[in-house]
Amino acid sequence: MKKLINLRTMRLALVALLSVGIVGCAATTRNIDPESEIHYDANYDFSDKKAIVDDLVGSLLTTTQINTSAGKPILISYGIANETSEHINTGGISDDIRLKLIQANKYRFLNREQRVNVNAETEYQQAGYVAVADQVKIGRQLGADYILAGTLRSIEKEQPRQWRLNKKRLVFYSMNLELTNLETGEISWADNVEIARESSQPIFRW
Amino acid sequence: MDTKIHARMRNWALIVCLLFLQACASTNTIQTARSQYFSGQHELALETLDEVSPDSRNRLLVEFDRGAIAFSAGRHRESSRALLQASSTLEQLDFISVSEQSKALVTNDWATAYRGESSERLWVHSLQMMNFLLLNEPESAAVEARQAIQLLGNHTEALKKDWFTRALVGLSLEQANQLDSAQIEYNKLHEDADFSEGIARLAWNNAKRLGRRSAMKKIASGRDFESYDSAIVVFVDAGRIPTKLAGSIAIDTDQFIAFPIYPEYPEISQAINASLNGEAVSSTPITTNLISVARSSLSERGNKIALKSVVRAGVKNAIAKEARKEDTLLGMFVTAALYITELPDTRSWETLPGQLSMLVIPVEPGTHTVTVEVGSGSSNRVVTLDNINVERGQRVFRTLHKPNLITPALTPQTVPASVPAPAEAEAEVPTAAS
Repeated sequence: MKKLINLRTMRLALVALLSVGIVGCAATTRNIDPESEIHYDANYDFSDKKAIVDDLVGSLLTTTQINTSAGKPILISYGIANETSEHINTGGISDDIRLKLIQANKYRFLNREQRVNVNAETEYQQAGYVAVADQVKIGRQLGADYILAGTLRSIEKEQPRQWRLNKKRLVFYSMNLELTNLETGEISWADNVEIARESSQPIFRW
Repeated sequence: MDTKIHARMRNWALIVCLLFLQACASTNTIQTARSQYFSGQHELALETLDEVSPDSRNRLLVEFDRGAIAFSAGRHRESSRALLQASSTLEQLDFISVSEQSKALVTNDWATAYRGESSERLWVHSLQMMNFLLLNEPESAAVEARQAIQLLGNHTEALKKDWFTRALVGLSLEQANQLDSAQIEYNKLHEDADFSEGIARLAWNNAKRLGRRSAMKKIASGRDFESYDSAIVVFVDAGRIPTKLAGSIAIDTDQFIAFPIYPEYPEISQAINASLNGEAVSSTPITTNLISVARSSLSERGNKIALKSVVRAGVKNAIAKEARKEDTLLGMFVTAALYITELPDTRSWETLPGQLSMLVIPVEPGTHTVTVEVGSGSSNRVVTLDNINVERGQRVFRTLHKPNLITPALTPQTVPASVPAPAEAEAEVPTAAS
């Protein structure tokens, strides 16, 4: 009787183990909330980008250092320099900041990336292919009041070599953004966001 | 009972043999690709590498080789993609696999995934820095430079003499307009290699750009340097890095331990001389002999290799003893199987050059012709780089790949804007000797 129970228990345990194994190995896909904060490791990810953009846009929209009484200030973005140890496309940060500021309707932006195309299109129109009345007028482009530029930096520290089961890594990101007045050269506004994160990875795996 | 034990021992022997054979498959394909590369068939070599399974234990070697072969063919975008993949693989492999180590204990280290030497990890960044500078992406080159600084800090002694990579780190940071960071690296490099005039010139010129008079005075130490804004930087890779060989020590009549070694080759540096618009230039090349760095890197983990080999010898000895106890014939078979599987892990990144050099040639803005002579006597090669247009404050980068090998013509769409057409880059002119 005891042997029978043991055999049955073992069979059940085996079936349970196989089920867990099969379920564990199955590939899955799911949508996640872009607003939720998710980090798989200490490296920069989309949650960090969101936190950086939200903080800096919030600061720019509430600042009193930029005079908006004479109309919406015109900005030109010179991008964000990547001074981290990771290949990060910082264009994503500057694009999101620009998008949110335009949507908030407090700033106007010049499109620096499209300048060559704008010039080519204007030249084409002026070449006689387009009716004079429909041609864009030369010399009516806007001039920027401020340059928007920033730098993303990181400091990384790994746990010193010693007997341990886990390897810890500390990463500190600092994103600095500033507005430079084109007329005076003065930095009219500046702010930064800091993110510090520790991750731990097992040294031994199967 | 006897039958059970026999079956168990037979299974052991079979497992040992299977593991041994399994390691050979991808290695043969990689060797074929390397032979094709060394005979100048870059395209074919890259195609052969595609045949290696991505799950292979030699995955890292495939990515290393793909990066180096594409680099040598002037396909810098493709090379950078392969080497980024290699960096990601290195990150994924940064753990100790218990299952792999158990297999390695009864066979050899070929049963484990190749994780690369610290020197090879550094050279991933060296090639990447060159790729990004040639693609005119200084910010990405600076990212690689910072990763290289971290690695150099973790393996200070082993990698210290890689003068080329260390100078390239400074140059990449300088190019990304991070002059302060560049100066820190140049100062450290100049302290370790104060004999090199090429390094002193780089460090001095950057200190001048920063307006640091005391640093300039210290670096120059009586020498007369002239500052420059514009320059042509030529990277030259020459020769082939030697392969790892098998070393062994006999413990007993039927047992030995095996380990990888880099034999003591005489370090022969290829002389590099250049002329600008027909006039000899005094720029001293900054050179690294890769073999000497590879050797220090391997010796750095010498103790670990020795300890592991001794433990493996103990395990193998115990298995063989058990087998002999049960049956003499089976014991002999198992001993032989364990004996033949005692192979050192001689895997390495074999498509690297033997020497990496950089020449920084200060120029006035305008169009220039640079002629580079690699080697001396009858074995020298002279390569002319025509129509290099340099603007004020600009640094223009060029490469000369494996001047002692025949390189195929590059397809126009793969030639980045900063690299001249192959006919210009690789055109050989008759030398005085020939």
